[in-house]
Amino acid sequence: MPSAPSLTISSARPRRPTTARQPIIGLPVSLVLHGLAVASIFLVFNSSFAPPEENHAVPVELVTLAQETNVAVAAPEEEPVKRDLPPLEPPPLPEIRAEPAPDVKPPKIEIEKEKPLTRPDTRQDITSLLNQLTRPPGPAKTAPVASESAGLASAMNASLADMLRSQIRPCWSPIAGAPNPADQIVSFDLHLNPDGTVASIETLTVSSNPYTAAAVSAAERAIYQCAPYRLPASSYNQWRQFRPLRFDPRQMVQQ
Amino acid sequence: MKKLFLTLAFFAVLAPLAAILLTGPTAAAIAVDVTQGNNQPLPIAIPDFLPAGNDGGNAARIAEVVRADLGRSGIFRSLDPKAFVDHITDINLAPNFANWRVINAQGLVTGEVALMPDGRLRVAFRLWDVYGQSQMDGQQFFTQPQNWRRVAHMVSDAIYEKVTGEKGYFDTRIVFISETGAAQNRVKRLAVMDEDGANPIFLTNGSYMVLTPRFNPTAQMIAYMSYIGGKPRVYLFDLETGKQERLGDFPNMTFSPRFSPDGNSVALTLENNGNSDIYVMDLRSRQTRRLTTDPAIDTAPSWSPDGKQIVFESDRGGSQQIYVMNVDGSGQQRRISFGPGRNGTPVWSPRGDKIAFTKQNAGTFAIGVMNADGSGERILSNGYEDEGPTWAPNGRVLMFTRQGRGGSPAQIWEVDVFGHNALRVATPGSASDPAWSPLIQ
Repeated sequence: MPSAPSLTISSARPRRPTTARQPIIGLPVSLVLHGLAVASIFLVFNSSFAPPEENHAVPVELVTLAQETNVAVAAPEEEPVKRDLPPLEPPPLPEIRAEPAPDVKPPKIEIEKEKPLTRPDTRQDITSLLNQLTRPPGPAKTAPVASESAGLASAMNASLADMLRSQIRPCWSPIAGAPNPADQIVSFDLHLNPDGTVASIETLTVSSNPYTAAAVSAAERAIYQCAPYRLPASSYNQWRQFRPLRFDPRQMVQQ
Repeated sequence: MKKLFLTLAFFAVLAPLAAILLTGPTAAAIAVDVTQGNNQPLPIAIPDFLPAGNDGGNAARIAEVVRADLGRSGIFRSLDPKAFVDHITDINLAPNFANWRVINAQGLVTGEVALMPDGRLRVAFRLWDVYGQSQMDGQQFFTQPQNWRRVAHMVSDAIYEKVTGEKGYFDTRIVFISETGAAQNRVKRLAVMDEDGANPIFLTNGSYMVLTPRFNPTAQMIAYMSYIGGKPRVYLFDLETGKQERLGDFPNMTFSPRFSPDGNSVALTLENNGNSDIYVMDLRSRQTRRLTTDPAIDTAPSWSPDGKQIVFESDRGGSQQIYVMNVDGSGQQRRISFGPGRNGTPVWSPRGDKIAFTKQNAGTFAIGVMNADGSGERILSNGYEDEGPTWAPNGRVLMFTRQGRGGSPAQIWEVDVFGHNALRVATPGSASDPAWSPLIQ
């Protein structure tokens, strides 16, 4: 789309030298067009980039509802994913120390630990399949939200945030107690489909810390397990993306 | 031409804008902070491992040990295999995740066991994230078939570490005092067993009393106090050779031994004319160094994991409390226990952040933990007489001796560092004075 204007304008360039009259007509046209462009952009961006407020106007408690949701979607029909995993590593040369097996002496044992088995990549395929199913909905027929006030939009966002939070909470069981609790704070970019199922999860927290890796897994399990999320279908454009979706277990440590 | 130009310009500039307006604005992403969850053990399905040809009968029993290990940890909830609706037929195929979501499993472990032509046992497993539909871990082990339990514990440790980010503690051993006979004439024997209570072995015959056994950092040597010859002295027991020797040639009683983190020294208490003080013996040179000189009772030394400090108990302030000193004996006046009652038997966590202790208050004994600076004291157990804590190598779980009222038989219990998941450890008969080994190398 962005390349279209330059192409069409260059093809419409007059071959002859410009005459004295053309600028006079061109100027108002140009002014009108630019004016329209600026006004449209302002209208759209004014409502789109209303900053979400941190304080939440009305906490929505949906725990019961979320539990019912879980029960209802416990067993979705799905084709089994069967893929050939890479073969396991071949066994190494045997070098285990023989045991004298005395009466009182416990055996001293050496056990070889092999390289990790290779990881079969099933999730990427599934995610890409899901992505194909999650096209944005068609053009809105009514007037766009551009006329909404910024306050209403941010209140809506806070309400949607509360709705998602209350639905994820029952599924989130972080394993607290890392030496540095901040290592267990993890963030995601979550995209949802119109039916509330997960379209994609991107991990924003990159770390080789094993506590962080475990925290990422625990949060991802929660996101998947509590999906699909019940959010108002009419405002899908607002809740198609949550970013950052942040999990911070520090307040839960002693529970 | 002019018309054409205007038309084209109109579409070129306005068409994209119109498209944006008609499809609605792309809203800014919503930020969400989740700070409260629902602390539940992770439901995990561990079907019997698959025998690949001849497995020597190990496939099912290895899975059984893994189920028991993880279930006991409190971090996991091992699902009952009777509830499984799917049947694993090949661990090299991705499972049908929907069939495991039906029973609410979040983790799935598939495994395979085979006897190799060379007589070794091969155990392979994969850990699956059922909701994320991905493999979290996959490893294989080779060993002699008689070590099947240890391999099972190693599988448990690998799963535990992947899910928690923390090293496991299942492939470890416990040295303890086995107690048999009537209360008036109790026979106390030195014994070791696996962390789950399996494979108990008696190391002494019970003809003399033994107390306070401690592992060295390689779990091959045990220091303990014994009344051989009627006099309480510290001895070393070498598990490799089965030999024991008296540690040092002190004229009076020695007790309360504890290895340094590097295994080269033992801190112990030496009693002399009613005055107990803490000494350190270098195991190579057998030279001793005196650390405390206070006329009060100084005992129960335990090293910080970096080997730079020693925590101990002393009644130098009037009642039994916990103090910290530098390993050269300097800075001894750092008292760290201030709660009610008397506090003793401090043990520094292998992670370094906590100190466990026994609190005696209002006629009962309880197990507590505090931060290494003495802050954040928390009582973990509420039995009648709980004492003598010892740390799992990952610093997350503690074992201790529990004794009920009226001289009932002593038991070994464990509890996590938050005070949850208290349960009795299986022992052959009555047992006390547990000491946890490091992870076996």
